[in-house]
This record gives sequence, C-alpha cells and structure tokens, in this order.
Amino acid sequence: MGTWNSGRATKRIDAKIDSLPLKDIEIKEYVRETDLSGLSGNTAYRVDGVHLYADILNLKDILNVTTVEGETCHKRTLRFLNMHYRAAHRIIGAVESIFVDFHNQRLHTVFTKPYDDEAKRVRRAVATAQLIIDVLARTGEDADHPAAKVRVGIDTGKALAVNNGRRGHREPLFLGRPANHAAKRAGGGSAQGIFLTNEARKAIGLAEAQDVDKTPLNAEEIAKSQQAARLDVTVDGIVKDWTEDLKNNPIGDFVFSGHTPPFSTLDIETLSVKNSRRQDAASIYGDLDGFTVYVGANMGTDAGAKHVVRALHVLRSELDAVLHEDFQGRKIRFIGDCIHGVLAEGTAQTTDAVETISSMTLCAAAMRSSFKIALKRLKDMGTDASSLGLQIGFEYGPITVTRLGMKGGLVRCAVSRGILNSEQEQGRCKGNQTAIGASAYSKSSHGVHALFGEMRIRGDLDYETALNGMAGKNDTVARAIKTAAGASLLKPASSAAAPLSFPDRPAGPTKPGGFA
Amino acid sequence: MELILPRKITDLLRRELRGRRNEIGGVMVAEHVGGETFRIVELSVQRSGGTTLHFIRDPEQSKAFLSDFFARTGGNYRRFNYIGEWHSHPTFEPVPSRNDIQAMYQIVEDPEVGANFAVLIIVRLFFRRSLKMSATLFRAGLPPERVVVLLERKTPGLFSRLRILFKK
Repeated sequence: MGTWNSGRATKRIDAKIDSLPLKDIEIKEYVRETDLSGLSGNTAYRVDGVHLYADILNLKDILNVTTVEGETCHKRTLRFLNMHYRAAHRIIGAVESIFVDFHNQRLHTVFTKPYDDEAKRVRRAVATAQLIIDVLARTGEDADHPAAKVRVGIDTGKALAVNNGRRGHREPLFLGRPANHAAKRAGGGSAQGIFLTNEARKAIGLAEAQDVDKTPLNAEEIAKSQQAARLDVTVDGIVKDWTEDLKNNPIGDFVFSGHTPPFSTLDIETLSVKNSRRQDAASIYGDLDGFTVYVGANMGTDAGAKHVVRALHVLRSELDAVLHEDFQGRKIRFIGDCIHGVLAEGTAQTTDAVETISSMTLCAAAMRSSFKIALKRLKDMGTDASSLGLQIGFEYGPITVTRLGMKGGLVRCAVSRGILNSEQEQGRCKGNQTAIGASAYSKSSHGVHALFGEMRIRGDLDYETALNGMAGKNDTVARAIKTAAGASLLKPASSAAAPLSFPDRPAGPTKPGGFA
Repeated sequence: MELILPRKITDLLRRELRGRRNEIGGVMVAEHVGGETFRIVELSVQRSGGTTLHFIRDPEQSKAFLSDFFARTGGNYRRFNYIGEWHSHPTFEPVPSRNDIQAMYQIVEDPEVGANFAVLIIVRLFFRRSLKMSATLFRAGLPPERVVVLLERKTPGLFSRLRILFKK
C-alpha cells in the first residue's frame, strides 16, 4: 500500500530540476558517425533522419489463440515476439539503421544514412519496411498462431535525440514531429501496408495524399524504392534464420513464476526467456499530451530545446518516482514521452485484485497531482510547459514481464490482453483525464466505481479527490492510508499502555522492511 | 521512554552517513537498563537497498546480525534484544514518513517478529559532522510516541579532566 504527499513530491521535483540547470544542457547537431548510444542526461542532438514504425496489427489475435488468457497463449505470443525481435535485429544490422526500441509489438528504427540524401533514406526505409512485412507474412507457416499483419508508418525530418535513461539500455529517444507522425501512421488504421506522411512522399517524388492514413504505397512505388535501396539482406535469408530459431527455441523454454509484491523490488534486467514473470497485476500508461507540439515549437533554438530536455526529464522522472517510490510499482519502460508500468498487491501466487486496483487508482491520481506540481515548479524555474496534459489509462489482468531478443541486447517486454487494453484506455483520454479498463472496473471496490462512473473515465482526478472519494465509500486501501495519516500526528501514549519490556525470546524482523 | 545512545553509536552513524546520497539503515539491539530506559548496544549497517528517497531492509542481513548478537549475549533476551529499526534521510527532514509509520506498525503487529514495541530512529548528517535525528516508539494499537534520547558522554580523558579541574 503506497501513499503520496505534496511535500515529498515537491522536494523530489525541485531536486530533479536542480540537477538539470539550463547552462549544463548541451544541444548539438548530429554529424556523420555521431554515436547516439550512451547519451548523457543533459545532452541532446538534432538529428535529420527517417523514422520507421512497424506495428503488428493482429497481436491481439495471437494473444487470443486460446479462450482463456492462460500460460499457453502467453508463451506463444512471447515466443513469436522473441523471434520477431531477433529477425528485426538482423534486418536493422543489415540496413544500418539505428535501433530505438521495441515496445512489445511496435518497432521504432531511424535511418540517418546516407547522410546527405533524404530521398535515398526514405527509399531505404520503404525497402526495409517491405522486408519486415514479407518476413512476418511467412511467420504463420507451420506455426501455432496466425501470421503477423504489419502496418508501417514512415516520416522524415529533424527530431531531438535524448538519453532514454534506462539501465542496460543505452538507445537514444527521439522527440518531435517525425517520430510522432511515423508512429501515428503506423497506428492510424487497421489496413496493412506502408504509409508515408506527405513530407516523406514528397522526398521521393510522390504526390501528396489527401488522407495519408488511407493511402498505402502501391506495389510499383515499393518496387522502385527496393531497386534504389538494393538492400544486402533477403526475405529467404531472414526466414531461414527464423525457422532455425523456431527449431532451437521450443515453447517449453518459457518458464514463468510470480514475483512477490511489491513490483518495485523486481529487477527486470535479470529476466529472460527461462526466467519470466507472470501474474495478475494492474498495468498503467501515462502519456504527456501535447508534447510533440511543444517539442516542435521549441526545438528550433538551443534555448528552446534545452527547456524541452529539462521538461521531459523532470516530468518523466516524477511519474516514475510516484509509481516506484510512492506506490512500489515498477516502470517497464519509457516510450517517448509516455511511461508504462505495473503494480500488484498480494503474494506471488495470489494477487489481491481489489487492493491492487485501489492502489493503482491512487497511484494514477498521485501521478496527476505530481504532474501539476511539476508544471508549476518548472514554470517557476523558467521552463513553461503548461500547454502539456497527462492522459492516464490502466487495466487489470494477467501480465507477463520478460526480456526478449538477441543475447547481449535483450529488450524488455511486458505483454498481455490487459496491457494492450491499458494502452487503449490511455488513448481514449484527453489531457486531464484518467480511464480505467473494463476488467479493472468490474473487480474494483465501490469507492473506485464511484470515482469513475459507468463511462469508466474521470477528469482532473488528483490524489486528494481520489483518496477522499474512495475512503468515503469504505475503500479499505484509502481508509488505511487515512488512518495511518491520523496516527502520524505524534500523540502521547495512553496511560493504559503496558510497561515496556523485552520478550523472553529472540525478536526481530523476518520480512523486508520498506522505508521512505 | 528513554533511549540512551552511546557515543560509539553516534560516531558510527556519522562515519556511515558521510558522503552518502542514498538511504542506508538497519536494525538496532539494546539493553533493558531498567524501568522504561533502554540503551542501544549495537546497530547493523546495510549500505545497499537504498535510493535517495527509499530504503528496503534486507531480512537476511538483519537475521545474521541478530543471531550473532543473541549468541554473544548468551540468550539473555529479557535484557538484550531487538529494539527496532534505523535509517537515514539524506535529503529530507529526519522524521517518519507515512511509509515509515506503516512499516513500523507492520513490525509491531507481526507475531513472527515477537516484539512488544519497536523504536524507529531516523538520522540525517548536516555539514559532515552534525547529526540530527528523531526517535519514535511504536506499539500495536497505540499511536506513535516521541522517545527521549539521551546521548551518553565519553569517559573524560586526561585533558578533559584537567580542564574541568581548571574551571573549578
């Protein structure tokens, strides 16, 4: 059971702002062969590149191969993603693009080569996209799940590369229009194909599209890019490796166990196929609303870009601190300006659903309270990010947490129906809203029910509102927090208390103690 | 309740806290001197498991420390026993947070711990030398209570004795 208070949050935010003085933030231009791995927290590069997002549209179908969301469907999905990550790794190595991240089924990679030729970069990205599509189209052959359906989004232009701040993962994070618009095209519909923004279309001499999300490249346009790019890697070569992988990685290799809550003690960097976690938990997505516009408006000047870097690091780190330090949850990853995390109450074997959902509701509300304080403190220190909002969505259900991909470069992966739903819940929010998934809502306390209502969405849900609302409806977690808060007023002990003495046996703690 | 804190303990805390940005902590053992007076005898120091804002005490480390202490004190539990927990707040006021209070109530309410009460000491070092602390008593079903901490002076050395004599 976690708690939040404004004093602690303010001190934390001030400490983070103090650690990022504007004078120490460096904005540099990306030049030939700049190494973007291992960027420091106060350095950012302006990078002219082509962004490619490849999204597997039917991951839900792969997850739904069984009616019940049990171990089998999770194992099949993770094995599929494991091989997908490996195939993508080989492709990225061959085409010399920069690997940014895999967020479950979504790949982000950036083409900066050839350096002085935008058209060639776009064509290289298109040819790579087709390669990914062709490889994944054959993944259903002899497999126990449907073949993957892929939708690719591509955009070109300048973005800001900053440190993503994850231990063991030194990839850069790209902020700005091209990264965001490529992601939007990949997520812009249910049709398969390669979708270019008008900027990317123009770069390779194509006419502007009326609706870019409904205008995939045709076979002739793709073939032209493939001929121009002349990639050194073939579909058959990748599929051959895939088949080998399938043979060498039987489904039985995935070994699941539950993590004893809290999740804050889970070291994700120790996880692997043979050491994966699976249990019921709540999954949360918190996304900064309006951040791309904010980046676009400020990245043109060094002074503006410095404010972007500071705002991003302060806001993201505070959202992480609320989840991890205040509510003992665990961040899975930052996805650009978004945080994805998990939280559970109970034991490794049995999650307390009601308590978990109540804790996550308070955590989401605390994130909004901290976010408001952070915006104010940033403004006081000269960084005006008040145009930003925070969209939060969460859901409850079985989750998996593991790391997949190539040895030496394993990528965090947390996937399940509930996790996909929590992202969808966040997607239906405006900048001041918090949404709860249908499964979490059905299992929650009356206090949580009353907060969200039948639409399962609530505006301006801050910590005080959530705590008072839930405690008023007898939510056990909220009431316990209020009781503890009352007890913290140090009153003299009553005279009826027994005299203090040691017991006639060895005393001592047997469980980990969490102090803050 | 009165808690006597020997000089060797405060010296140890100063040494351990110097230059540390993350929270550290451990368990404390004490001697029941009489009435409601207890004297801290030793404390364990767990240097890992902390961040700038959080500290998780490892039960295995504290178990080993306590086993060793009980062996050395001959199982005289009524006189020498576990008295509670300590940790540092390198960046905040050394007062219990809500999490600290919850953790302490879990300890005194857990029959496996077997303690009738527990004391929480929170310490912070200022300017590398000055030690600021709070001590709070927790008992199941009762609100927390401030503890009077008595700092035990070192036995005066020759120089101090001469100075006292000179002053007279």
